[in-house]
Amino acid sequence: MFRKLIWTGMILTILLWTSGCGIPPVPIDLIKPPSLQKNTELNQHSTTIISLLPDGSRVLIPERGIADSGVLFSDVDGDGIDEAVVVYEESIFHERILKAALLKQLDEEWRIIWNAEGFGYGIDYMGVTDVNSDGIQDLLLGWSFGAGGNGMDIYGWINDTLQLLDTKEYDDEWK
Amino acid sequence: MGIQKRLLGSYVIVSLITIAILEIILIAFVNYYYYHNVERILINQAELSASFFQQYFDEVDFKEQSARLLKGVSENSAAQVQIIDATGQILQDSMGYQSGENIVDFQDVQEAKDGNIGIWRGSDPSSDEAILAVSYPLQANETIVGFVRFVTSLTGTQAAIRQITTIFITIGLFVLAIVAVLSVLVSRTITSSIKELKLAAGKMAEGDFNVTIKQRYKDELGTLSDTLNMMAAKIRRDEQLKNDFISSVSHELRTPLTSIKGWAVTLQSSEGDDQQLLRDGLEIIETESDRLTSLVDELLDLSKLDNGQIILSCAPLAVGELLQHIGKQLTPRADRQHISLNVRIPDNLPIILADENRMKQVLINLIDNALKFTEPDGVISMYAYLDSRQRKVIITVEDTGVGISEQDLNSVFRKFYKGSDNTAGSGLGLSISKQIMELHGGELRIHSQLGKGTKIEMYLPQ
Repeated sequence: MFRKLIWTGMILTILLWTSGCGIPPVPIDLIKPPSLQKNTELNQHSTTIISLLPDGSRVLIPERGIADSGVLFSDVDGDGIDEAVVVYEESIFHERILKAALLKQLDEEWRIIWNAEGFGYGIDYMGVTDVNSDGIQDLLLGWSFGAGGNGMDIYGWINDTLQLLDTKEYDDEWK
Repeated sequence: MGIQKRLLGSYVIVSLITIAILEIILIAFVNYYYYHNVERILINQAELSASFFQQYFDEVDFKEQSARLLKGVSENSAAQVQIIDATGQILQDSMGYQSGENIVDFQDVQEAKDGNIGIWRGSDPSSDEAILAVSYPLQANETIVGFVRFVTSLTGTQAAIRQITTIFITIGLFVLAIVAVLSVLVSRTITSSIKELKLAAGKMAEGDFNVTIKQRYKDELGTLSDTLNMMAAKIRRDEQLKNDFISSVSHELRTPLTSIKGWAVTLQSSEGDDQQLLRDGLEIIETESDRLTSLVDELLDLSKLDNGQIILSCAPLAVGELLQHIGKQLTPRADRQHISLNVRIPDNLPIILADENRMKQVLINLIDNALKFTEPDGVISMYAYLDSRQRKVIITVEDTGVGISEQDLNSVFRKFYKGSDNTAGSGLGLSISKQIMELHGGELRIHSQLGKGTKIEMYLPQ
């Protein structure tokens, strides 16, 4: 009898362990590319950078701007070497969150050194301009709210990190 | 109700309960899964709109912005979207109507007013359609300036759940049907052997013991059919023994009778002329009558033992003296057959409670058997000892006679059983002895080896 109870307990534990207690994900959350087998020669930096993003992330390509592969290379900290900026959608507990990341090459290796959350449905614009005239390029991220307009985040390099300088809503007419 | 029906019923009920429990859990889960997901999608959309509003639109006049906000929100949502000001008045509605209506009384709007996510499930006041509404506060400079409200019809969700439920129930019924068919087949394997047993037992009840039941499976029913077969075989054998006994008893009764009759005729025809002949004839008639009497006595004993009519008259009995007495009584006969009869008795034999006459009967029977089956120059030993551990007195009669074969050894205590048809006697002696010993609370054990001799032990409680 006692032995039977132990067996039942073990089987239940194994079942719960394998199935998990939570709600299974909906099918749309399950679609993701197969894990990369080998790097394509075409754009090795981009591929390396994308592979550094959290599992299940999807790189977003801005509708406007200068980053066709989804990765923008530009010197935003003024050290003369290009950093990489990438906007992606991360899936955490079935919820999708828009994020932007700044990657820097340290000892020939790319590392994420900055991270910020985005808003809206997607990325409309990604680019660099020296907005505050401090001689260093500032990062412009335009988040899209669809027909409702867009929101622009302006980040500048202050105290060895990117800081939000200003936000501004803008229409599609903005160039 | 037949066993097959009962089995079938229990199989079906057990599976029905199992399937029902499983389906109730599954359906409840599907129900939860659908509603939870719909709710979550609406909450996500509301959250996204609210955070975008807070980030970029908070400095602009809310009323002016509401149209743009609605455009942005409704573009990405199939639900009805409403933009509501802080007082609960609808500013924008993606369905185009109801503008200006105040819906502050809805539970979800009330909750959103407190700064929480408002969720309300109910029926649409105008169409009675089941709906789910999610309201989310829009904040500007840390004050709530309005709400974004998503309203979705639950008709599609309900239909989907209904469809899945129907599929589950159909599958459940289908499985139940399969179980029913399988249980018919399984129960048939059980009931068919039971039916066979019933048929055979019925035949046996009518007196036909020649039936044999085929053993289909090595289960309890197989054992039962084996037992029935064994019982039938035993009855057949007993029947055979009884017939053999009747013929042998008739034969035994007939031999002295023929002899008595013969002598009576002879004596009658001689008319008492020859005194010697008369004496011989009367002596033979007397011995033969004694033989007849003892045979009839044995038969009476047996029938009394079988009916439990024999009552022992137990009295304190000195085993040693009894053995000595019997030894003396039978020594002349042993001497005639050139067999030596030894009696050994230790001093420490206790007095036991026993029926002296019955004990004598048993001992004489055992020695009589020994004398019958021992060749001249053989030895018969009779001795007794006390087994203090078992608290029993053991009397042993051992001979150097022909012995009993192993297959006969199991049958010697059976009534009417005779080792061979040639030997004289009724085949009742050992059976009667055994029953007398059992009446005394003791037992009779027999050990024998063909050609070496036989040893019979009488165990008597102290």
